[in-house]
Amino acid sequence: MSKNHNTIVLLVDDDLDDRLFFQESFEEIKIDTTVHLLKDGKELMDHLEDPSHKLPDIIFLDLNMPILSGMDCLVKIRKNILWKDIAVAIYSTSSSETDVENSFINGANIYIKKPNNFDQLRKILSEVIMINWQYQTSGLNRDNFILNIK
Amino acid sequence: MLKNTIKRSSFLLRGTFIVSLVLLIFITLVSFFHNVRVKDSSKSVMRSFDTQIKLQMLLTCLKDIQNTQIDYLLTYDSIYIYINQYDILKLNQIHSDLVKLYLKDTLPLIKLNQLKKKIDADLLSIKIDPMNKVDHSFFINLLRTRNEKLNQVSLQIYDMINLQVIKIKQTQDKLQTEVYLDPFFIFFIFLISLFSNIFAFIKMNGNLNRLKIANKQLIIDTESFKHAEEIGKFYHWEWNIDQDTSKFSENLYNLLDFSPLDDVITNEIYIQFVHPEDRNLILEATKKAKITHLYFLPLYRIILKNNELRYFMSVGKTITDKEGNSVMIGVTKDITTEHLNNQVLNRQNRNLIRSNKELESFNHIASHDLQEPLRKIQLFISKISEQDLNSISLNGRETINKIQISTDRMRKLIDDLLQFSQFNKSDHLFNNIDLNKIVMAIKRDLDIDDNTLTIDFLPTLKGIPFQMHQLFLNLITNAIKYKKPNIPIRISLKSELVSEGSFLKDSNDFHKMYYHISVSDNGIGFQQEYAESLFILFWRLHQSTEFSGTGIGLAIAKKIVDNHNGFIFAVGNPNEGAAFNIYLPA
Repeated sequence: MSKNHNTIVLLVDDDLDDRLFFQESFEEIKIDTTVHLLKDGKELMDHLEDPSHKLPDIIFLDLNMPILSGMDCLVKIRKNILWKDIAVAIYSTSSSETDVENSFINGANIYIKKPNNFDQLRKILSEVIMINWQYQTSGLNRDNFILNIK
Repeated sequence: MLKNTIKRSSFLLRGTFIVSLVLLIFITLVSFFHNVRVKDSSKSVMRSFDTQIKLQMLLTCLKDIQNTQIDYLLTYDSIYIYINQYDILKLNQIHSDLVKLYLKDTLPLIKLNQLKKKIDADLLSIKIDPMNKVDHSFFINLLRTRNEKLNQVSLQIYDMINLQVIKIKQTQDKLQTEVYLDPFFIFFIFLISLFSNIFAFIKMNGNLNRLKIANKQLIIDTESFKHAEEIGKFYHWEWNIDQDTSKFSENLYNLLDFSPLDDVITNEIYIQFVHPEDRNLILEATKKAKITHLYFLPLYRIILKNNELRYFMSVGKTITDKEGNSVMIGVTKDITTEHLNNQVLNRQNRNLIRSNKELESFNHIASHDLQEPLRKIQLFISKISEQDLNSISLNGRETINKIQISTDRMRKLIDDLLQFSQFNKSDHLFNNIDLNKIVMAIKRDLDIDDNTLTIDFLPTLKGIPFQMHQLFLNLITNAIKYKKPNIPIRISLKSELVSEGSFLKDSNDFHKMYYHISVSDNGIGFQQEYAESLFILFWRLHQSTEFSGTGIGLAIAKKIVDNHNGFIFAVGNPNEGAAFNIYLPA
């Protein structure tokens, strides 16, 4: 992502606290971003389909959501010819192998386990925003699929 | 093989019979014609002899007549006239006999008749007047002419006799040339007949012996099959489809615990034993079998006379012989025990599937639902300790620190629990694993030197690679963790091949082999009484403050060994060290 471009970030999470933590962390990171907080899969679809919104650069997607789950959203995004190039980061509490495996297969770019403290959260978000996704996507493999912040 | 023997035997038997019959008829015919010829020729010889004798008699008679006439002329005794008449009668009699004998030979008959005429004319024609005596010169003259005539006639008769002698000779010659070959021929046929019979006898005797052996084997087979039916709880049946009649083997009576009065079970009687709800199944399978030539009824119920329930299974297929007769041959088995066991097994399987599903949902709860609030607590605390720590009292800060430690530990426990439950899944494929490579990789990852870890040659065995890695990782890290404070840790890995009976008290199997791999150390050890507790999940021998950890490592190690159908035992000596003995199937 070029430095002078305002990065548009979407977070889809049904948990209010998580959305607030997320927004708070972004405010503290000194990167020029626009963050949209959406509370479920349906809102995400509506947002993406609305022509008045610019397409986001990256979507943070919680897996465990009612009605339209994160995995369903991922599948829909990858099937849509306009959206298929948007970077998708799975942002979930689950670290189960099945979830990781399915996310990878369905075309997510990275898998982030929700961190336990604020400091980690900030580090993860700034790291993810700084990644050159075009480069990253071409080298995508299972070993670097899960994001680890020490 | 046996079929061929029987076929060959009956073919040989028929062949030999036909050959013998033909030879016998031939011999009979040859003998018959031989006899006829001999009889004919002897008849002809006899006739010739008769003819000769008669001719001799004719000659004698002629001489007698002449002598009588001479006697009369010399004596004029009337007695000679009577004798002469008698002789002439005799002569005529002989002549008529000769005519009969010559009846078939035209030429001699003509000769005979000429001779007779000559005799009549020359020898009998002279009338002698008894009153007029002849003079001496007339007498001599008469005598001379008569002798001359008689000689002529005698010569002719001798000719005729000679003719008969020649004829006899010819007949004999002819017979000899005709029957000369007969004895050889009969003997030759006798030899052929003898050889063909001996050949057939030897062959058939051989075949008969083979049949005897086969028959003996058949009796043994039948008997063993009967036993097999009794032990295997099945019977066999033959169903003649066209006539809709069935034959059942004897074991059916045992299986039905029933012996009918007339000792035969028919289809109608059999169907009475079938559970009323299942009779339709049999009818349908029967109907289907007529079309597909295969009979298959995997399960139906039988009710015995004492109301006991049995489960039967039938399979069969049609066999058509050369004549086009179709017979369905099948086997029916009493599968009551298997069926009941299966039912129990199915029930247990269903329970297992349910409990596995419960476990899966538990995993989900642990991985998401329980972690979610915990993570939030952690996040909120981290927010407080970051932003508001200064406005909190020292005591409060201490409390916050303790909350942080506790929540961290809880999270670790949940993670470990999840990890432990992941080792439950047994749908992994077993591969050949070189344990040397696995342990060398661990050694490299943990950065352990050769003094710390000595490795004997380890085997290659079948297993799940990542689990084997985890097993040895857990045991080695466990040894390192529980080392003595001031003494460098020494870990030793050894392996040997042993039989199950040598290490399991309640096993007598000395054929089933295991790799015994021991991981021993010189660490702090433990009291032997705790040896089994070590493998219990979250069970810890030491206080949390002394050694970190949740008590999951050895529990996972045991689970992995269990997954590989092996055994793991711990041996400990306080302050001397611990040893973990792993037994994995070779």
